[in-house]
Amino acid sequence: MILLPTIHTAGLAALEKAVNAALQFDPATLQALRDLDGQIFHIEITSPQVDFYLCPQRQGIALKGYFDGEVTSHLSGSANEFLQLISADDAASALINGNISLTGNSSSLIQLQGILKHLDIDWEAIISSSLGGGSFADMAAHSLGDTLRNGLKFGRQARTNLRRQTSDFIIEEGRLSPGKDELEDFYSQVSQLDNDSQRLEAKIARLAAKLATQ
Amino acid sequence: MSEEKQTHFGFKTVNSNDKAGLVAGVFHSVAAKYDLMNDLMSGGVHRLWKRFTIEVSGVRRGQRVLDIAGGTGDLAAKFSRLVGSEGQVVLADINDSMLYVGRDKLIDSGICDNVSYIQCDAQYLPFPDNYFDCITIAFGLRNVTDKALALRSMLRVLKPGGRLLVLEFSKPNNELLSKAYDAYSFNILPKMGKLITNDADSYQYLAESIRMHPDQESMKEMMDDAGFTMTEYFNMTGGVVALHKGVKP
Repeated sequence: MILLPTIHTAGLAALEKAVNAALQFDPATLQALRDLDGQIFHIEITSPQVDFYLCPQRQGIALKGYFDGEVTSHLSGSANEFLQLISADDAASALINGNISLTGNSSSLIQLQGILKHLDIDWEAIISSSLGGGSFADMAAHSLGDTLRNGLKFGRQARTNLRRQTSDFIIEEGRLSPGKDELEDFYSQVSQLDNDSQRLEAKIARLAAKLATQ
Repeated sequence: MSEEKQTHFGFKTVNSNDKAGLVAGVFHSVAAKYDLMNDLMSGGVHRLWKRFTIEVSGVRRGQRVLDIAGGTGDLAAKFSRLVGSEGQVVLADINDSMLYVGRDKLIDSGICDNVSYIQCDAQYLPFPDNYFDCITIAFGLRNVTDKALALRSMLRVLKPGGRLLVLEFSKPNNELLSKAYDAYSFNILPKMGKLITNDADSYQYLAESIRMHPDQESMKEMMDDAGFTMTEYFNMTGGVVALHKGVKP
């Protein structure tokens, strides 16, 4: 797709920004992630097809679309399989018995799984404060917070919402990319401007020719 | 009578010796509102292109990075955080107006320990051989008079195994996008430049200089000819921008 590399980077940037903003409200998780600073987890989701690198750091996480150094672990599987792994009580068993393919360091991966499984973020407080507070914001935040809490299991509804929220975040909040409608509108305006400029140019040429003959 | 070598300045043909001065005039004019114009012209998308460039650079703690035509310091600020106190970032630009803006911006953000600034010409880099782990040049190579000379200079100062990243406008790979891009560049950008910076001519030059820059394959060949290996490029936004990567053997 014509915009895919830019959109991929935009998506990862938006998700990274959202997760790191949320992590500021969960210092325990942030501290646990610091222990994994410098390790690189290559996540290859086969269905839907998404490929990225998750890099725990001292100040949160970094999500990269490109990395050509040595990775700590490389995991490959479908989105559902990853969700089952994240929520598993026994990550080692889940890896052995599940369908996720793993190469590299499994102990670091199990440590990461333990952190993600116990991610305890007050999504409602963050969303409510970002909506400006007040009872409407609280109601909206509660509804969205429920969705996000359930959505950490990434059921079908949560995936759709997250995709829409990420898209909204990219376009409306992060202003990381214009929306499709904006782009189409913009190209239409550019095309109209181009047509108008050419018509004006032709008119000027006719007038000039007319003046030259007088 | 000796013939003076000629080159392009946008769509105009000028003497090679005059190009640097003409380009300098452009950037003296746009320096103060350079960041604002980048955001307006690209709708903020330039930040994504630069983010991807940082990812491909693979820069790590303790490394030494040269950011050429670094101007207002977007990349240098990020590299500064990546290399940490053990590393070093050199922000180089031929234009002092751009360097002043960049230096002020970085210092105002609290970035001062591991960044140094130098005014120099990319064709004649004043550094020792085998000195840098990574060199980047973002939206600057198309303004250089002798690109091949600049590429050879960059190769010299890179360490063996070090990588060069050239982020630059290139040729869209879709005809519809190409037409929209042309219409936008030649009809909208100069008007935007006039409105924001009161300088339509500089943005006319911008649009023209992009069209005169080598396309993706030609740029890759130039890097091969300069002595880089493992050269490759990544098209972004349909080829409107390309990131070229090469490694010093």
